[in-house]
Amino acid sequence: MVDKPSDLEIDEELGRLSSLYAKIPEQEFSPRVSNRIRTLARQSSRKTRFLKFFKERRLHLSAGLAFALVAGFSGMLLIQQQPEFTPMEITTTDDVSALLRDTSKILAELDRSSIMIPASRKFEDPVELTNFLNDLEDKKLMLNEVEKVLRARNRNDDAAKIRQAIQALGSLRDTYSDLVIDPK
Amino acid sequence: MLLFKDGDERAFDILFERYRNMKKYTSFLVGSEAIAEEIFQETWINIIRAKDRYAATASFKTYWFTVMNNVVNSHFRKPTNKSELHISGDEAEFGDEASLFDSLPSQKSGTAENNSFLAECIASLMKALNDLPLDQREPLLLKIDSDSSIEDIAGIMEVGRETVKSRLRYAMQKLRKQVPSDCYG
Repeated sequence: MVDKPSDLEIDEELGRLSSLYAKIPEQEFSPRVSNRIRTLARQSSRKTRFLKFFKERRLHLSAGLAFALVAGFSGMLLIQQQPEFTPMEITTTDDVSALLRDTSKILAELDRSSIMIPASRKFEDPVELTNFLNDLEDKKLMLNEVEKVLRARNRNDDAAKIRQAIQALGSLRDTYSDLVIDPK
Repeated sequence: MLLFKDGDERAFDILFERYRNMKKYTSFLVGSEAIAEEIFQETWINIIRAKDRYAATASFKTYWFTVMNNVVNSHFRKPTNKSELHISGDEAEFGDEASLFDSLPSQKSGTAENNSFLAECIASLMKALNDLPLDQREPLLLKIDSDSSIEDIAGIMEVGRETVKSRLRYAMQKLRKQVPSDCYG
């Protein structure tokens, strides 16, 4: 019958084994793997901050409208797993009407979709950042015009939503200014 | 991890820095550098995707190894990957003894003879580790690579404390037969 080694003996033996194992050189994973992981983490963090931003400000903007605005205006968001639901571009009042009609559908899509900001939009280039912020500003001005049209047609409820969207867009612009100017 | 959960990507960078040099552990665990890359990446992807559900019930170290353990088990449960479990030490995709010799840190005693002996010892350890079944190799690696406690290993592998000790004993018995006792000197 073989004697069973005690816990202490096992610990001592493991200690000696650890010393030998420690002499095996460490290796690193390829940069491709590290980069992919970091990219996913960045996208996930930005998604969290984006959703937190709306939650913290208690914006009563419909989620669908917010989604469509951000997706359509900034061109930054991708919808994953919903290839049939592409980001919308709002350029006419008819687009707004269609959007409002489809709000419930958009809300459902939003719940099921994963919103990701491509990692390529890191705004390391100040010119790119400036263009992006200017673009948001242009879209705000355009939305002002949409709001005027809606009010002229006595669609005040829709116009109020557009007003909220304009405010949200302004806040979003500020948030992204903070995010991208933050030095690493 | 809680900061990352809250959207702080710099917190993730700190976490990642702590665990990025796990290639040795992961490669030995799965017996192949190529599979190790896949497993390592999948582990982090799972952590990132599940971050909203993360609760600090254990150390992040335990959490990290638990996620990896699940990824490894899922990987080898797939019928197409089952054969990879039986990679023997001879077939494992690691560097040969000559390249190992070159990459060894220079020893204080410094003679070529010493370095050659060390390379032989390490080669026998690498082969012995790869010949162990996964359920013995994993607790052994958790112990000698990350200095995990028996309790932590039990939690990571979802088995009892005594089971871990028993698996460690079996693993040590097998290693004793393959790694010359001089190597531990």
